[in-house]
Amino acid sequence: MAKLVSDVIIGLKDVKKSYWMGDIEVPALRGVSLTIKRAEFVSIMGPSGSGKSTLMNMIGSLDVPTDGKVFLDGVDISSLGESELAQVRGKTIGFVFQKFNLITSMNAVENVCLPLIFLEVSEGERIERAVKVLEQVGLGHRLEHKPTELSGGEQQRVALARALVVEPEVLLADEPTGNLDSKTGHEIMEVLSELNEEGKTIVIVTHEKDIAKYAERKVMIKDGSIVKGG
Amino acid sequence: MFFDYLRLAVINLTHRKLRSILTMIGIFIGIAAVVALISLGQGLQNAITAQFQQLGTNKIIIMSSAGSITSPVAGSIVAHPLTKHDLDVVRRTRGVDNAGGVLVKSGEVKSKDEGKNTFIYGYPLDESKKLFEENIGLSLKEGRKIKAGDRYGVLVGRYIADGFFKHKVRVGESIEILGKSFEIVGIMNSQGNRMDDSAIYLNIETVRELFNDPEIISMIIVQVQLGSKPSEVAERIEKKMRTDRNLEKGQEDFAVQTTEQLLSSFNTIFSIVQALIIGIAAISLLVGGIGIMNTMYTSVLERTKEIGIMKAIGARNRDILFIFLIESGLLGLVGGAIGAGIGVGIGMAVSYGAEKALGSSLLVAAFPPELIIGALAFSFLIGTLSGVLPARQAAKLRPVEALRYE
Repeated sequence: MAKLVSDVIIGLKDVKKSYWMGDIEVPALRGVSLTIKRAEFVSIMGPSGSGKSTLMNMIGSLDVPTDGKVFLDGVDISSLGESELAQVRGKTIGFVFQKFNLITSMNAVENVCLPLIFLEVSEGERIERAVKVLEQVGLGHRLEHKPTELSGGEQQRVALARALVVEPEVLLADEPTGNLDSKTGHEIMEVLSELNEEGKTIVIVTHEKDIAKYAERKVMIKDGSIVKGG
Repeated sequence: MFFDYLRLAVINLTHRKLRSILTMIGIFIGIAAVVALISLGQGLQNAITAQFQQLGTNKIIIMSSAGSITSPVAGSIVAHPLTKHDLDVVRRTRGVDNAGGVLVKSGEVKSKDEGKNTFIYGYPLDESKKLFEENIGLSLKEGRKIKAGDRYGVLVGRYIADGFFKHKVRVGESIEILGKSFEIVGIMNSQGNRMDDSAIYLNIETVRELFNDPEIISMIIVQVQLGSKPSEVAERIEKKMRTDRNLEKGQEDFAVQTTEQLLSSFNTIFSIVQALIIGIAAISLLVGGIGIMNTMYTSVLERTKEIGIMKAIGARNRDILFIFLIESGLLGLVGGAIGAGIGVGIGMAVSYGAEKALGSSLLVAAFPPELIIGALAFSFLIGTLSGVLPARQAAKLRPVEALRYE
């Protein structure tokens, strides 16, 4: 039993989430339960407006549910304070975004170092780790470049390096190929597959079937409920 | 940790160079003004205090009330001036060790057909001679002092000898005062201000003859006896002169002040001026602070997405708070440092200009370390305080919403 519990890295139990538009309640998730185990490669698919972004925010514990519970590495996130949650999130989950979301005023190494600053890692170790991860994603020759000096694929690799540098349990990617041409997109997906083979848990949100096929488990969401793969 | 935040702040500020500089201008104008004005005021105060110290604290100065502390000349042109009789009254007062009359007039002085107006000091040759010499801080560059019986020998200030006239003036040369011919017997060393250096000193009795006013005195300087309190002696002098002039208390047409009282009234004036300067500076710094706040609010808005990203990758509220606070504090501090530098520059330039143009060493800017440290600390404080509200707003942003912001 204990083994089983530790196998689950993210657990959603009957999660409901509503937004308010003025006085009107708009339900985005209508009671979703989902468990993601370590070393899984999960894709979450659904049309726009299906609640997949909200679901991804829940999985990434970027937001708190209106009702239900979210467990991150066995801990109920509603029991954590803001700063504890930020720290747990920072250590456990690495985010990759559709629009890369790099900080434009910082170069590649500085961007990758950033999460380590918040984990209070010493400067020497930060740079060493950042350079290592950037080399791992094939950007060893682009360390000092700013995002504007990098191609889309390169920017997404920097973002990937930034997610990986904290050695997270889970890599959570929201439309990671959405802003890339298909060749570059597939290159990024290859990198994610390799990471999964090395034992990293990977969750991607996408609407492209082509991309979703890299995952071993596909979760379909529609109108705020999981319709397949839950 | 602090240095990491600092580095992030520096990266952000240098990324928006123009805006950072414009924001800092708001602070540095205020700081530059306050540093320049206070340093000059402080310098002036130091110089005046030093002059009073040279005079000594056991002295009493008596002037006709129309004569202000800054202009002894005015004292000799009012309806009821001080006279030799007053000097006698003062000399007879208990506690007075020595008292001397100073006579200051202005008139035309001519050398080699070049005539110019300047101050003419009556040099007493009675028992108060030493007191007078002490008072003006007499030291000779060349020649000799005025002796008893010297009716037509004059001492000239340093500037009269070199600079006042188109040509240099030497000991032994003759000089014309109000149409009468005199011989220069000595040249004084510079006293640090052009007014004193442009003065001419001659036998007080000769001055009275020249101006045809045998009784007049501009100011009386009293040396208090050792062991007597200057303030008590001053009160006695005041009472005695009042009786002598048949005046009620409160109706005095003369002023008796100890050097300490004079110094303290100077200091009061300076404190008021300084408070005014600080008040004006405070307003300008308030405006500068609002500028910083504005910039920081804009920055929070602009970087909402960035804040969301940082929160997603593990930044706590306090991390965001500190990053923004350090940024605004830095805007204040760097603005203050530049301002203090400019202020020091202005202070030194004005001192230099005053020295060149007026020959006055009174206006030498002083930069006490607490002025500079205070200015820097204050500008940092203003920056930080201005950043509190924007930084809190940034820290409170919810990651999901911040990330969605475009």
